[in-house]
This record gives sequence, C-alpha cells and structure tokens, in this order.
Amino acid sequence: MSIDRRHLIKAMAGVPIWASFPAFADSPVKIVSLDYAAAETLIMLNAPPVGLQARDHWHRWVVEPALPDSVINIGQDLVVNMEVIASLKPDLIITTPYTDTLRPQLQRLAPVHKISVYDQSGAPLKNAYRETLKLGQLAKRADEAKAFLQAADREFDTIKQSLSQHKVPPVSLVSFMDQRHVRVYGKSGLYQTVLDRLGIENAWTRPTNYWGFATVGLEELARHAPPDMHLIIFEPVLDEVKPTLAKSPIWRSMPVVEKENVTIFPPVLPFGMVPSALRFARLIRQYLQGNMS
Amino acid sequence: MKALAIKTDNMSNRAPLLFTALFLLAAYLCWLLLAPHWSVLITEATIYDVERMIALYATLPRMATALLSGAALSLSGCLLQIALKNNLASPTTLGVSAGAHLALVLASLFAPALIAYSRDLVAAIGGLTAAGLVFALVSKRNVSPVTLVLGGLVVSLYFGAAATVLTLLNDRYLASLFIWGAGSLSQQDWSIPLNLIWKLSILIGLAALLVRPLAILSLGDEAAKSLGASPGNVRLWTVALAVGLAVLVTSSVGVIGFIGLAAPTLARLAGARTIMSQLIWSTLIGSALLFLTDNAIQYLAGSLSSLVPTGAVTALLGSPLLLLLLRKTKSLQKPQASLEIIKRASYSRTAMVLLALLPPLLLLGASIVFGRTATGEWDILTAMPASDLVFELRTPRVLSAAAAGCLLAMAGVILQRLSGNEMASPEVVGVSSGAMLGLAFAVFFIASDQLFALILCASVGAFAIMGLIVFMNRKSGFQAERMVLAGIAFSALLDALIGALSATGDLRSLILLRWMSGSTYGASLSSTSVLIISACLLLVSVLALVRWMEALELGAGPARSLGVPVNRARAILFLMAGLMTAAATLSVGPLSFIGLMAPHIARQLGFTRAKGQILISACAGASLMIVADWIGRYGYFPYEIPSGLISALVGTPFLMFLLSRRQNGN
Repeated sequence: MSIDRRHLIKAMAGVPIWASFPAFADSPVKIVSLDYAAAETLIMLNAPPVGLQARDHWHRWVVEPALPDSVINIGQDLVVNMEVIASLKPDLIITTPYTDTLRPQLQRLAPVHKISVYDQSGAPLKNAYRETLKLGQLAKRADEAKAFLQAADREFDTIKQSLSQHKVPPVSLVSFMDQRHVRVYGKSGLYQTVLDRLGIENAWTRPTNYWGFATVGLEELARHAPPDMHLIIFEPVLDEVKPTLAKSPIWRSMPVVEKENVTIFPPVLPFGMVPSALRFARLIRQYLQGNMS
Repeated sequence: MKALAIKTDNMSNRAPLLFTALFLLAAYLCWLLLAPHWSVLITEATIYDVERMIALYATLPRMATALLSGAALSLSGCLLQIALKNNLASPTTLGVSAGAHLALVLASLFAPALIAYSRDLVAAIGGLTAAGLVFALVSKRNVSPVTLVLGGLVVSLYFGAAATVLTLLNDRYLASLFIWGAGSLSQQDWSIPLNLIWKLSILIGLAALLVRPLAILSLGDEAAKSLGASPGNVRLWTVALAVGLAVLVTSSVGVIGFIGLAAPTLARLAGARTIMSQLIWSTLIGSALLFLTDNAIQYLAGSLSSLVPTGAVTALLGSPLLLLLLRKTKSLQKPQASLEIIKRASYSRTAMVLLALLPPLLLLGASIVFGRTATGEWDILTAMPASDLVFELRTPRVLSAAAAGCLLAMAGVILQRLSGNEMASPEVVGVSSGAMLGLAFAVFFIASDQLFALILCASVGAFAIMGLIVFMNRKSGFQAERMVLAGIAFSALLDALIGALSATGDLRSLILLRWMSGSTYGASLSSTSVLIISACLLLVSVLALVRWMEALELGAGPARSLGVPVNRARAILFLMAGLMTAAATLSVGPLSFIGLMAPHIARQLGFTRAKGQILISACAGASLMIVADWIGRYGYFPYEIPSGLISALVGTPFLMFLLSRRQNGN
C-alpha cells in the first residue's frame, strides 16, 4: 500500500501499447511469476517480477533474496487473480507444470513460459541451471544469468571443499506437517541434488514422490534413521508441534534426538531454483562446520 | 415390518453376542498388527529398538484411543437418543462435533492463547453453541425426530462450510487442522488416551447417576412428573453430559462421524431394551466398532495408515446408515398438504417483467463496472489499465454466475412444486451432491476436462440421486423432512469422500475441493455460452410445461382427468431439474442454496402461480449469484473466495429460518 507502488501503477498505465511487445521495447521486461522459484531467480538476475503469487507469504517460505516492495500480489497460485495480472500488462507470465493448467486463460493476457525444474528426470538442480539461462534470455538478462550461475558453481565448489576436510554425517531433511507427520525430502528433490553436489549423504533413501518428498509419520522416520544421522528441520514449524514433540517418547528416544543431533533451519524454499539451493548449501555448511570443529 | 418389530421385542438381548463378535474380530486384527513385534514387547528393552517404541507409543495408544473415543461417542449418542426419544440423534447428527471443530479452527486462527489454555474448553463452547442453536431452531415440544436431526445437520452443514472457508483462506497454516478435521487417531504417546480416560470416567460416572431418572422418564413425562421427577431437568442434564462426552473426543482426536449414531442403533437392533442395557451395550459396541474400523484401516493402509483419517472412513460408512434408518423412522408430523397461502400479487404484466428483469440487469452491469485495481483500490472499469482485457475476463464470470443462479432457481421451483415441499431444492435434497460426485468421477477416473464429458458425468450423477429420491419416496409421498434429511446425508457422504481423498494429498482432490466450494473462476467464453444457452432453453421449455406442473400439484388423479400423462410429465420435469442442477453445479459448486432461496423470494413477493414464480425466481437467483460472485472476487482481494461458499453462508441461515418457522410459526 505504499505511495511508491501507486505511482508505479500509474506509470505503468501510461506505457504505450507497442511497449508490451518485447521485440520493440527497450524498457525492462515486465514479468509476472506464478512461482516463487522463478521469482527468486529473477531477483538475482536484477529483473524482479512485477507480480507474484502470494507475495505476502514470501517471508515465511523463501526469505532470501528480499522481495522488492514494488512486487504486486496476484493471489494464490492455482487461482491467481487474472484481473490483477491483466492490469499489470505483463510482457511475460511464468508458470510451472503445477500451475500450467491456467495456461489457456493466461495466454490471453501475455505470452506464457513454463519452467520445469521438477520433472521426471529427477535432477532439479541441473534443470534449474538450464531454466535460469532461459529466464535470463527472456528477461533480457542473459549475461547476468551466466555470471550468476558461474558464481553459484564457484560457491558450491568452495563449500564442498571446506566440507571435504571433515567426516560429514548423513542428514535427514524434514518439514513438519503437524505434530505427527513430516515431509521428508529425498530422491529427485532440490535438497537431494544439493547434498549430492556437496558430497553429503542423505539418510532418507526410500521412495519419494514427483516433487522429491514423502509424507510419513514420525515413527517411519525413526524406523529408517541411521544412528549417526543428523536431523534438519525447516521452518516454519507450527506452534503446537514443539510442545508435543517434547513429550513424545518416540521422538525423545530417537537416537538422533537423544544425541541432540537435531537442528532447526530457517525457511528454505524446498521447490526452489539456484538461489534456494545456494541458501541451503550455505546453511548446511554453517551447521556442519559448527558441529564438526 | 410390524411382524419383525414384534419378533425382536420377544427376542432375548443379543447385544453381548454382537459386542463379543465385533471385539474378537478387532482383537484378531490387533493381533495381526502387533504379532511381529510381540517378542520385543514382552522382553525388557536393552538397546534402542524402533519397532518396540512404535508398538508401545504409537500402535498401542492408538488402539486405546480408538476404544475410548468409540465408547464416549456411542454413550453420547445413546444418551441423546434416550433423552430426546429420537433414534436419529447423535453427536454428528445434532451438529455437536461440527460445532466443536469450528470453534477450534476459529480459536487457532484468532485466539491461539485460548487453545493453549484449554483445548477442551474451546471445543465445549463450540459444541454447546451448536447444540443450543439446534434446540433454539426446533424448540417446539414433541418435535419430530426427523426435524430435530434436520436442524442438527443444517447447523453441521453451516459450521462445516464456515470451517472450509477458513481452511481455504489460510490453507498452508491449517494443513494440520485439515488432517485433524477429518479425525485422525494416530498417536505419539500415551498422553491423549490417559487424558481421555480420567475425564471420561468422571462423565461415565455421572451418566450412571442418570440411569434411574432416565428410566423413570421412559415411562412418559406425565408418569415421571407424578413420581416427582422433572423431565425438563433430566433431559437438560443428559444432553449436557452427552455434549461433554462428544466434545472431549472432538478436542482430542477430531471429528469421528457417525459412530455415535451407529452403535446405539446396533445395540437396539440386537435387542438391548432397558435403559441400563442400552447404555452399557451401546458404549461397548461403539468402542469395539471404532476399534475394529481403525484396526482395519491400519491393517489395510499399511505404512500410510497414520495419514488415513479414521473420521472420514467412519463418516463414509455411517452416512448410508442414516439413509437406511430414515426409511424406518416414522415422521410424527403429517406431510404438509399445501404451502402456506400468500396473497397473490396483482401486478400488471409489463410491471412484472420490468420488476423481474431490472435487478439482475442492474447488478450485472454494476458487477462488471465496479472492481478493484492491482493495488487493491476501488475503481470503475474504464479507469483501469488494460480495461478491455479486464472486461473480457470479468464478463464470462458474471454471466455464468447469473446463468447458474437462474438454473438453480428454476430447478428449485420445479422440485418445490412437484414435491409440495417448501424446503426442497437441488442443494438440499442432494441432487447437487450427485452432480458433484459425477464430477469427482470424471476428474479421477476419466481424467477429462472436456466440457461435454464433465456435463455428462454431472448429469448422470444428478439423475442418479434424483432417481434415488423418487424411489425412496415412492410410498411415503414426499415428506418434507425425510426428503431433506436424505439429501443432507448425501452431502455428508460427499464431504467424507472428498475429505478422505484430500488427506491422501492427491492434487486432483485440491481441484475437487475448490470445485466443491464453488467458484466461477474457471468460466471461459465457451462454458459461459453453454450455460447461458442451456439456461435460456430450459427456461423456455419449463414455461411451456407450466400447465403440467400446476396440474400435477393437484394430485395424480385430477391431473390425469385434465389429460396430463402423469408419469411421463413427472419424469420429464424431474429430468429437467436434474439437467439444470448439473449445468449449474459445474460453475458454482453443490452448496450455493440459491435453488432454495430464490423460489421463496418469488413467493414472498406474491408470485405463487407457476409461471410467475419461475420467472421471478430465475431473476432472483441470477441476482443473488451475481452478488455472491462479486463478493467472492473482491472480498479478500487479490485472493478469491469461492462464490458458492459465500452464498452457502447466506443460504444455510435461511434454511434454518425456514425450519424454525415451520416448527414455531403458523
């Protein structure tokens, strides 16, 4: 509701029609994103989206990079507000396989590009690199995209190197759904590929779904936990979860809990792209180094 | 039927036998579940053993919770049934569980401190409010069993709709509540069963004190008074106790539907006669029943068992039971012969057409013109950027809302006039739920989003329910309460089904949930044209059949003598109502209640003749739906609230009002 945003909208209203065709325009490409992952990448490429789904929940799921104030909320991802998108007059709309069911309606508003980071291939980080380059082209930030990916590669290498000096334990990565159920991240998820990249072992080797997680009861987690594992819990954790866990014998008697090898990470988008992968890599290095030394 | 009843009277009490059978079956499943870990259970643990911990702190407490919850709910149901002399009463059918659930959802969103203070207290306030509301609605003495339960289910429906709105608006944070809402017995430790056991034992102790007063009460109110008992007081305390029992369970494990209805019924059918034996055997049978159901779920679902909400499964099994019971319960009230007489309006023809068309047309225009900009400020269309595009986006939604409202209103008029039941409407008697089930089938099994396939499936579903209603009412005539109750049982079945599907985390169930709540969001030019064309065609054809409709209201005999082919005419009219419902459900979901409200608005305006009522209702329905859709689009901008839910929030209180007027008025 800031004054700035209002001015921005007014300014947008004044843009002539021909400017909405990227080919003729020199102005920045106006992109609406139905996906947090694309948005975080665009922000890193210095081409933040003009509209984003559920922008008011960003701080709860993504946190970093910070979202510019100018970004307009376009509603929830599966029922985005078409009127808001239309009045933003975007040059491009980004969807994912998840939100691509809206394509027929979106196509009437602007060209639609689908980014698929999560697909059958099960290599989200590799896909994220590919899609970052593509986003760079579409946002006229091709050079920035290449530079960003090179920097990311360097950072991954540095982190891997700094970790290789220690004996790194296997980790399990979970989000709490409620007091009794967790999402545990594994095969074909983003975190898994980051672990692979850094040479860390994931303790959860059981099947996961398309998105790379499995929803299981705590007892299932306990059943498949190697004794030396470390458990990483991602925020947000609902308020009622912590007191229940504190009482639960299953939880308390899990070796990982008894040895106090449990930690809570701030939110990291589990279905993100390279920026989330980097954020996760930094957090896990910080944690493991703190623990190993 | 009579012979059977006498026979059971003479039979000895076989409830113990039934209980033993259920319990043994459950115990066998329990053995199958625990046997692999038996050796680790009985020996002292030396090292950390996951299976032992799970058996000790997840499987066993879950079983204990199932036994306790089943007992509490069944005792609650049995107490309610005895106190209210109503075989259909139960925590589910009186709205107690739904009330407790909504209170917990509300508190967790707006006053988490209250929950931290006492979960039970919050649930109790909700449960008592719901029960109070039901009794306020149908406060007349000697109210028919069917009517009381009808009040309860309407309240359940309303609270359920409200809880769904909240869940949709906050979905990520309520993810846990959603699993919980369907009633999950999964446990982490002994705290819930241990907590339940002492609270329940106090309440069960109190229930024991009520056995004697209730036995006196069963002699009849006059006899009880002469023995010095106050029937009112006894009833009040019994109901309060029953609510307490149900609320405790809801606050610990969520809504476990229909156990409290099934167990007392089974106990009675098995031959439990005296108050004491009914209370004891209901409690035990209910306990064994939930134990059995839950063990079966655990056994069949394997490692996923903790995610399958037991409450959804019991509701799925229990709501058909309600339908069966309904067939056997005699309604105390005679079916009302005719609708109340309202002074007929004497407007001129042109005035009527103007009156009818003006509001929907004005609203149509207004809801296209007035909206909000990207930053949320109110503005008119022409002043907005990309106004032509926004116009293209808004118009199909507004038009399809109007067409759907119009269709539902017409279907409502047909159903109300043919059944002589002022509470009939596609939403209330379950035709909309039928259409929705058809849609669910299409989404899950045909995996098609072709408009034609969807309409076809929705129509088949609607026709199936319509046929079932006609079949069930073929002997009794269309008794108002019975018909409505059957419809609500269908809705409960649908809710349970969708709840169970959502808990599996299937993406398609998310689509269904949004569809259930009803939104014009998906309206496209083609779907809108189909809707508008069908609305116009059906309007014209209904108007052409007005003579049939009015003749049929006189009864089959007179209609025949007027030259109306009675059976064919009825079939055709019902078929048309089914088509209207199916088409409308596609765009506004099964819960809008427009089909209930619009015909009444027309009647209150004085349009009692079929032709006038159809026209005016169609216009009223269109207007209502346009308004609901507009609120849905801008009320929580830029997020969307499904318009079907908004009109349900208005429509259910309207249904409650009709219900209370039937009971207390005229």
